[in-house]
Amino acid sequence: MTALLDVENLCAGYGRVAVLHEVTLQLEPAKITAVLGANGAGKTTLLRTLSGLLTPTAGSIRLGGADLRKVPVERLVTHGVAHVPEGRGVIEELTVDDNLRLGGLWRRGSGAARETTKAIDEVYGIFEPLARRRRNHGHQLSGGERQMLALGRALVARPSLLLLDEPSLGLAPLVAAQIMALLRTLRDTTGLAVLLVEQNVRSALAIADHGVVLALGKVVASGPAAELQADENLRHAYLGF
Amino acid sequence: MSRFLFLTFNGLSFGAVYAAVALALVLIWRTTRVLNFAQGAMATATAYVAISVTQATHSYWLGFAAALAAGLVLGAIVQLTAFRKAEHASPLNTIVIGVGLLILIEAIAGMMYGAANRDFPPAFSTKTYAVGNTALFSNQNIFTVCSVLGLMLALAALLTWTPSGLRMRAAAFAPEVARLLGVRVGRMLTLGWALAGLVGALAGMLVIPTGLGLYPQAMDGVFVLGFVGAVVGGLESPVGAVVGGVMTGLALSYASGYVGSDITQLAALVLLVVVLLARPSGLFSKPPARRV
Repeated sequence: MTALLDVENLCAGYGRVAVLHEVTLQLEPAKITAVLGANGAGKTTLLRTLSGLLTPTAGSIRLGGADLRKVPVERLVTHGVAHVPEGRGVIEELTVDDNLRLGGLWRRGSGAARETTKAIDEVYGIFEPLARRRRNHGHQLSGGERQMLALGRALVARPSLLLLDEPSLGLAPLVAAQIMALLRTLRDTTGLAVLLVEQNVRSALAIADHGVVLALGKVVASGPAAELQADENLRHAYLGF
Repeated sequence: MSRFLFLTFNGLSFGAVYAAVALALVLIWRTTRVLNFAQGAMATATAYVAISVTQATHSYWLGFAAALAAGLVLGAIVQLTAFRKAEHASPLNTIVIGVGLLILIEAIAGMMYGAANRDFPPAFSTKTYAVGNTALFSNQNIFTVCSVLGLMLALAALLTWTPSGLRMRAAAFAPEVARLLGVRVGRMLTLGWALAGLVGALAGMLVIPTGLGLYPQAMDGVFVLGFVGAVVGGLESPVGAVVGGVMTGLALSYASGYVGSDITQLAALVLLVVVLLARPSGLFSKPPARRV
């Protein structure tokens, strides 16, 4: 199958500190790829570089043939890429409704408002607790509701690729499991491709189709999730279980 | 009682002007963390534009509209040229830029129009209506309060109900997230500065005719009182700016009327100290989060 996202020899960092070293990976449509690794492995840096928040020092990022390195961050959403950053990025001063409306503001043209309203209604259908709290501000939500809102706002954009950073961080196990199950449903029903950065290795590999293991900014292993889970040496050396 | 009513109306009228200056400062502060010390000088510059257009066209209202348009454009130009590169610089850098711009604008105004105090006509009559023997307010007072109130309501509607307003709020609260959602943050910041320029220009057009006169430093004192209003309100809150500005106007008016005009400016300082002692971050600021 043709890769949706094709990353080759990607290098990036912060100033003189190089964090990513020649990272290569491919993402297919309607697949979940988990990026795994210890703290400081470069997982979040990888996502920030893919979405243009960090400028790569070398390598290429191609999405469906388009060179993403030439696409400004603000235009990324028009290419079908949504990024839910670490910490969820819910704007606490805005209401749930306004946060969701933001997800569709990139649309232009006569049908834009209608399309966004329809997408928001769908999100409220998926995340019913949000529908009950649409007038509440972000700071009034629980951790689980904030994660739903962050995910819902990304879905309002109707992306083909979702970059998701630590969705289960700080959530109760039951809520985290619901979020993971939802990702699988979205993959199966909408064809969404997900690049999932997750500390909880077991739950990430349980829903992922593929896995990429990073250590000190380098890809040390990649392959089908089931194979990574079965590799005892890899589990002990890099995944911690 | 009649004196109290007069002082209240007078305070509300001047308070509306200080509220406008405070709002201009807050619009910029909450998006860029810059205190624009040139806000008053920018308002003076737009008043010079107004007087030039009025003289050329013999239409007061064309001059008035030109001043507002000039405020909008000047705000955008100042952000794009003087402040954009300094957005992430230290606060001291932006203060130096602001003060430098203040001196530059006032120097250019002085070279072009001279340092003399010019008469600047009010939009409406300044003759006060009286109830019995008590003078209360003039048409110009009513125009001042209504135009500031109208502009604030329009701004509130823009920020609350329109897509551009939502983009502006997102850019102010979470610029990085806003960028990921397709918001051109730089453009929104420029729009914020332009709106602040417009609000400042309105303040200048309302206060300069009320005995202040037009000269290059005309708005310096008004800026200081608008700044007091913004700090009293909490710097973060547009509502706080309005309340702080009106409180400043009332405090000055009562102090001038009941104690003496010599201590008018001192009243602003007293208000500032009292409010900051009670609430160090201002009346409408959120208390800082405590780590427990």
